[in-house]
Amino acid sequence: MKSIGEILLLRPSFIAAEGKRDFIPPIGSLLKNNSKPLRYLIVVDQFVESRIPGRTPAPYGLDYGDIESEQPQSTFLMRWMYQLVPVCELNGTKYEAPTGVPDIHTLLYWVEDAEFTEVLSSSSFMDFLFRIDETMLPQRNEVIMRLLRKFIVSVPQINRDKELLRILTRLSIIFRNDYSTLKQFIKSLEVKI
Amino acid sequence: MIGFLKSGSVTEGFAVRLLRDVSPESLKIGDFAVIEGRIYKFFGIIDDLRLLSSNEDVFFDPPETPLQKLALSGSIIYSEIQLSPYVMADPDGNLMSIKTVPEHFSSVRLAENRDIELVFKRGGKPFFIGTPLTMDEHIYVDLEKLSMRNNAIFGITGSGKTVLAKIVFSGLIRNEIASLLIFDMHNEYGRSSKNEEGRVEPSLKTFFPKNVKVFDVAHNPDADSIITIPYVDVDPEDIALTSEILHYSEKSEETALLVRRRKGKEWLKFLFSLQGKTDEELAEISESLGVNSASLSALIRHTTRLSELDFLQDTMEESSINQILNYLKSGISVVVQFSGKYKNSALVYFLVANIISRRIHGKHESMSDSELKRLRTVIVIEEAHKFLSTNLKERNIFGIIAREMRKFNVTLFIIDQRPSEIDPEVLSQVGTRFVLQMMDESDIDSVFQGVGGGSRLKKILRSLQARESLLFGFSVPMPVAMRVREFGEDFFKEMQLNSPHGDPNKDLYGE
Ligand SMILES: Nc1ncnc2c1ncn2[C@@H]1O[C@H](COP(=O)(O)OP(=O)(O)OP(=O)(O)O)[C@@H](O)[C@H]1O
Ligand SMILES: [Mg+2]
Repeated sequence: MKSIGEILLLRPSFIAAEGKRDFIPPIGSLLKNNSKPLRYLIVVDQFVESRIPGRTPAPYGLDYGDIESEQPQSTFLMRWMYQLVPVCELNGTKYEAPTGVPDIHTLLYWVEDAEFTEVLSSSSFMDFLFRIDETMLPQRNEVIMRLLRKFIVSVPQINRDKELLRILTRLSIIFRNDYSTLKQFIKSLEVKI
Repeated sequence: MIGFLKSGSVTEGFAVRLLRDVSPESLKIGDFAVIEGRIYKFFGIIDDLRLLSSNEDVFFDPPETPLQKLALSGSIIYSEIQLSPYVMADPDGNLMSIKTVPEHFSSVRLAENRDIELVFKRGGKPFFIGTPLTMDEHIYVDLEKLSMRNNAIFGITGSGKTVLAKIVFSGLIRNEIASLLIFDMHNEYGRSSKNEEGRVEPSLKTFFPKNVKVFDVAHNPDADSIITIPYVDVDPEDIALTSEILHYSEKSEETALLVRRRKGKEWLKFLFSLQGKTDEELAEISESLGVNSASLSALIRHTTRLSELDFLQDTMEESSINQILNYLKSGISVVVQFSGKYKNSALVYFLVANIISRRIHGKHESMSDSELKRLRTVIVIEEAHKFLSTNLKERNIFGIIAREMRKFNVTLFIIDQRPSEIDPEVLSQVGTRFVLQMMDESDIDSVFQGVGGGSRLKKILRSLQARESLLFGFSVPMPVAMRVREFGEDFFKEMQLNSPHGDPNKDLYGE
């Protein structure tokens, strides 16, 4: 299994991993570590920053495609990062609230195929998604929407309506007091694929 | 399961939250539902359904697809039923009135066969009378209990009163619970009657040829006997009930009593003999009688119509009344019909009903306890409000029967479309009520006067159609909305084959 990043930033309430310049997992991707305890993390943001603290890139005035060949140092002085938020841990067959933060240098992997389906089918996983504190992470709902949409698309056509209904039903309970947000979810998930 | 208990109280009933996949349209007012408590089962009736929302915002941006709607139901939009509990059963199946409440989230389901049986098919003499509105199960009424109190069938014209009455009466006769005395205003309870489509249908005499006798005031091929009432058997009090029709005032009543005091049993014959007398002659007679001559001539005038009635006769032969009383005494029911020129004659109907009922009253009052025990008489009157209206109070024999005759085993069975015109005091003496379709608010109000939970039952009543009836009171453990059983071939067969006396096969095999 090929890693798609490594956790390199651990600040209070802020975890980020470095990806590759030509590929950072999109927002809403579900990742995991490869050690105990097994943690599920969701990609909530992407950013690029200088490897040298305080250095800001200088303008070169070149066409974008020419920068790398003519000023190669300008790209290796930068790193391509993505922010992660732990969603839950798997303890046996039970999803539990995340305990502590992952270690620095933890390698990250995709959650794929059968595992992805299994995790997303769990209503407790859904609930953990919405425990992410929206005041700390204003884009939380958008992130979750993307994850759920990815899941819906992955479901075989014949089961899609059933899964969609299951998710929407859960959402309508979570957002029973916030209809406009619920409606956004509904609209974003009910896209005809 | 259709939902779970959300809130409520013993007095106000329960709110039940419906499960998301239970459409409110699958439930109806009047449906019979069961709450499964931890210990007790609670039996109730759905008396309201409500659509609710947890968030009004949804109505500004309603769901657009069926899927969306489905997703919102159960959370943002949801439904509840209002369930009125009436009885609860302990684990051994003993019924009791509601004394406690089930816990939150107790599951609620529609009643099944076993529930209906548990509640309605109990001791006594259960008789299949109808089916719950949305089920095929049988609802039973306890005929024993029924016959112990006054009963009533109310409903607008065409709602099915007479047919329901025939079904109930068949049960009473077949099970030998009571002798019926039916004052059959429209000749429907004898051998046969025509239904609305004009088809001839069998009636009590056909079902129970040996247990039913038909009397008529005029010639009628179906009748076993023609009624004759000797003048000497008529009392001034018998006429009082028809005073309105005869334009007979209180003064005339007093005068009649005076004449009787002077002339004894011959008073009526004497009165009739005065017709055509001149004023001078009358003045003289008045003086000898000690009555006012104007009052006497008014009385003569007002009773002229009586002298024209063929069945009132100047004879010393035995009155039909005795025959009727003897039949009733030996367990045979009597249908009194009004044919020929007395069809639709209110005067004759009231007069005859009054005379016979007053005699029964007199007889029973003088009977010993052991005689009374064996005897149970149910007097049936149609258009009962005319017998029981408020302005007839004291002298009204039917009011007296309703109020006082239960201890003599005589009860009244009232069939009427205008309960609001019946003396409320009499209504309060009605044990079991069958309420078919009703429209008039004052009638509806009076039917539920003094009935616990009446306002809830009213809601159910408003949802009834023809042939559907609300049944509540003494002979059923809880109110129930039912569709009256089909009065058709199955019923006819059941009555004739299972009848202890009317089984045609018995005769065939010479038993
Ligand atoms: N249980 C039943 N089974 C079959 N038919 C019924 C039943 N109840 C009522 N009907 C039909 O409805 C018609 C009217 O019913 P019914 O004569 O009992 O009404 P009602 O209330 O006595 O009316 P009214 O006040 O005019 O006497 C009947 O002729 C019959 O055709
Ligand atoms: Mg009728």
